[in-house]
Amino acid sequence: MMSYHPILTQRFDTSDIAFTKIDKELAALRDTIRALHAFRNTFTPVYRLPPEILTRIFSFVRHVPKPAFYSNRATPLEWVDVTRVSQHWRNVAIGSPTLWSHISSTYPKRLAEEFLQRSKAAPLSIDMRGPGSQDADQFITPSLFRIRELTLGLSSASWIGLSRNLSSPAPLLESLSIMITDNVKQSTSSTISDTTFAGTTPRLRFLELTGCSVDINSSIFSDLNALDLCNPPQKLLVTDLLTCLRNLPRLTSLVLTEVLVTGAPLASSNLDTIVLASLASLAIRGGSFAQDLDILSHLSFPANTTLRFYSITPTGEGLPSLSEFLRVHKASRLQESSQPLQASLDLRCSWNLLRLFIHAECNESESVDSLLTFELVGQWGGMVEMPDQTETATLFSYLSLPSLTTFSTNCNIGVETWTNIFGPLPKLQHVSASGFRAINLLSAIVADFKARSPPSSERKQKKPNTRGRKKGKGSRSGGKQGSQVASTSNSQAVDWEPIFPQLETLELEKMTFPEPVTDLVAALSARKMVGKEIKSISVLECLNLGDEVLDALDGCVGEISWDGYTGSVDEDEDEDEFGEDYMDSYDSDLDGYFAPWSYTIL
Amino acid sequence: MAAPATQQIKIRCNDEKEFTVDRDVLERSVLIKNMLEDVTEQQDAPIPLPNVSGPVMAKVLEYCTHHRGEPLPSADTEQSQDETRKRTTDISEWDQKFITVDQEMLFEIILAANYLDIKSLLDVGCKTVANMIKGKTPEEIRKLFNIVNDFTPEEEAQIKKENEWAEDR
Repeated sequence: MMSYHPILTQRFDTSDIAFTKIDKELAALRDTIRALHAFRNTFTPVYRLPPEILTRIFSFVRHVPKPAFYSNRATPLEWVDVTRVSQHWRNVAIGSPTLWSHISSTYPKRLAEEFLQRSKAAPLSIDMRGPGSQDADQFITPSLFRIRELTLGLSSASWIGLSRNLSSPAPLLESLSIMITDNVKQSTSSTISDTTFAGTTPRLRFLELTGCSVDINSSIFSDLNALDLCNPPQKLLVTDLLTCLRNLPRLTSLVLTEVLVTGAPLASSNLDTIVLASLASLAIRGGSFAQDLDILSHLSFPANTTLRFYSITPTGEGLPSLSEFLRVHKASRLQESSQPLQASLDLRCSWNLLRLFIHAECNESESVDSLLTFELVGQWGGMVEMPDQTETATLFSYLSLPSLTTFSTNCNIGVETWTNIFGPLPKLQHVSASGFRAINLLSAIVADFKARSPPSSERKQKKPNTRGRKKGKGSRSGGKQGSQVASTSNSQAVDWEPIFPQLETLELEKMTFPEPVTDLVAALSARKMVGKEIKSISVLECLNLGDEVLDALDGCVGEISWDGYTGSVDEDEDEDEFGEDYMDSYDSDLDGYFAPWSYTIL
Repeated sequence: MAAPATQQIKIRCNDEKEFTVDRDVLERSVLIKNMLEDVTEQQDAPIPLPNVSGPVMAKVLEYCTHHRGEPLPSADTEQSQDETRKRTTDISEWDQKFITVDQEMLFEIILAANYLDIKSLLDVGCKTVANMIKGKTPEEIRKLFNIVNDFTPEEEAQIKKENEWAEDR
């Protein structure tokens, strides 16, 4: 039998009373339905998760990577949807202050206020950059006591206003990034001083300041793990910087960009060495090479510290002190018996209009100090001259090369350097050379063979076999041939130690192969006969390389990879009556190629 | 003194299912590790785990066996990860495959990891749920977890207001 809701059986005196009663009953029913919905939700599997786990899940939903300092992308707020799923989820989320502890100037102001309220007493992360940063004061000043992370990107005028209110302690502050966005010349308008945060930031470990002047004596510069100073309006003297570093023994990362007074006197050599025993990374940009050297000579740090020096120095300055720099670099390392050397060093400097990029990787396996990979890259169009032989030799002498396995360069290294410096290296396996002077490397191999060749009876067998080869730009496919010669010759190996004794891989780019290649083939074949075969030669955009040359080389190396480039010196129509190519400078801008006859090959 | 790595420990789940497991595998659980450290003499009686069923424990042990020998998170690590904004939702390939289970089992694994105090497994579970939620509308999330809308009119009004604030940027 059908049953009706009690209200349907009631009689009402007036329609008003009926409406009131029915509406009341409907509301009660809606409440009942909502209650039933809530009750139903308690039976879902997800409901079994306790609030602390649900909060943990929400924190993962909320996660967004910290934006780059210069990014003005709005912080996503989609995660807030977890408060719009059910009563239970909403109560859990709103009841978790840490979820609301990140406040950004990209949030709508009303929402940011709501976040601040919901964060209760949780430590805050406040990020005020861009247009919304005018409200910085409202969010920062009253909450200074609980701010853990503060990122500011604002004009100097805004900073002056805000900094007056940053006069109370920031006991929880761990990370502070300030970027003054306009280029202010006034020295004191944007200064971080001892009055900032009342000089009380006991937990501050990360400090990043761009466009701010700094009072080096401020107590803010103590106990830091990471310091990044960039372009302060008031530049520092090296002695001031060293004074600052002396108070930061726990630094792990130090980045200095255009921080020092140009042409200022160097620090006294009598200063005590500053020990930065935890330093993992040191980068100095925009200073002079002499200043870099000066700073470095006063520091001592672990063997695995990564160093980057980008010195934009006037013409002619820099490179002459490079050797000294490398010597100091080595001397600056703390002598720790337990810590293997595993460091990398990047140097950028200018020398006679030439920009040099030096990348070195060191590792330690056998000796105390060994360099595994060394890349010497010069940039100035395509003409990359090294200093004279003496300077070059001195430069390399300061690098510990005996364990070097890989060397790559586009610089002009003379035959003598190849022969005397790199040739004897017992572990050098991979060499990459580009530029027309890369031919010096091959010349060194030939010269060594001619000077100290094995008995002629062994050489008789080295007639290369010739085979077909696939070629084509981009394919870099070559033939792997010549094994017959190897099997014959290995049994007859003689006691001859050629240069580059362990060389296996040779990469040559943008050089011109010699004509004829007879001497080269003879040298490579001789290596093969004594078991020192070069297993792979890769050639890219090289001239004078056709099937004939490749076939000649085929029998004396394990494998040749060729990009199919068939350019020839004869094809250059820009050559004048003296053999000079007047289009060289234009060519170099286009493809980095330089015709070899413009220069004397060492 | 640390016990030999090969020592076998017995555990008993709430459905009476018993497992005999290498001690170093079990010690991925801070709860069990502490229990074992508190026991001075070797006991044959299995350790009772009243909050975990056999099938769930089998999955937990699969995880612990795979990750045996890896360093346990230190208190410092845990503290730094508690700063919620720093949490990433990346999950390794093996863990992703391992945690590809039905919802019921997923939540049971999370609860077991929480009870047994295996932080890394707890995070794998929580990240998996978080990844399921990310990019979905509230209605889609409700559908995913079989939840129904139970907000009061007042709450609905507040949510509407917050939506308007959010659109104000």
